[in-house]
Amino acid sequence: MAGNKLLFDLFAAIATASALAMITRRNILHGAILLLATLLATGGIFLQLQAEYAFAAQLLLFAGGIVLLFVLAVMLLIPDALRQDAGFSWRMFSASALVLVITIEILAYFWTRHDSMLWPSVAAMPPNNTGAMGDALFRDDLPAIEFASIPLLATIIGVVMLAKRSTE
Amino acid sequence: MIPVEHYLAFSLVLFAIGAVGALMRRNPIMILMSIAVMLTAVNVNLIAFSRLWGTVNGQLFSLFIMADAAAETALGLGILVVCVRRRDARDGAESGLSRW
Repeated sequence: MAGNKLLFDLFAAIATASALAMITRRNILHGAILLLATLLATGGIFLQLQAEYAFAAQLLLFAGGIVLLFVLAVMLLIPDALRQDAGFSWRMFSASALVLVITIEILAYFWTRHDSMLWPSVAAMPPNNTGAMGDALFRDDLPAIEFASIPLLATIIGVVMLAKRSTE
Repeated sequence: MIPVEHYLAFSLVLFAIGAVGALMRRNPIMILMSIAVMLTAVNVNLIAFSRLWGTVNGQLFSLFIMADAAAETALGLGILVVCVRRRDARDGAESGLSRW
């Protein structure tokens, strides 16, 4: 149990530190690598929460697919001018300060609460988690996955249209 | 077990970092990467509550969020590439890519 807490603290610290470094680095490629570190550490937290399928999807889809897409787009298509960030925009500073204030407020609320909602002891995760997810996806919530395919189809058509128009 | 508040606090901090990055950076690629961090923070929340109640529904939603994040990134980078080819889009806030 203590090891569990230690593991969570480690992963959370890595993810938070990498995310903080990501939004402060000027180099976009460094930012992409730090984003990868954030996503991998978050995947470790998923695994700790017994979400094996979400862990695999996080590794393959997020860390593998999306970060690769970022790096490829930056390296192959985007000119050098865009690789270095133009820096912070001080016009948005007040909005970001508002976000920080709200975050600190909610964190202070967590900190001062004493009636912690612990895990209910009755709710145990099914041991074959991925199988239960397959049942949920393709038997109980079949319309959900069908609806999820609509934005993906719209994205494919949109990207094809964009690529076609830009080569003309 | 670890109380669910720890996961909620971690998710909140990650979301706030992503929100600050999306608001304060001007490069459109950095804005997209910050949005990816925000979506991951939402996933942590969903999976923590999925574990809390012992069901897989939260994981199901996290899968849909991952699919939408992939779609959003592909479309955003596609739009960005078209904008870069047409004109200098060095500054996302200036070129209208992130104007609200």
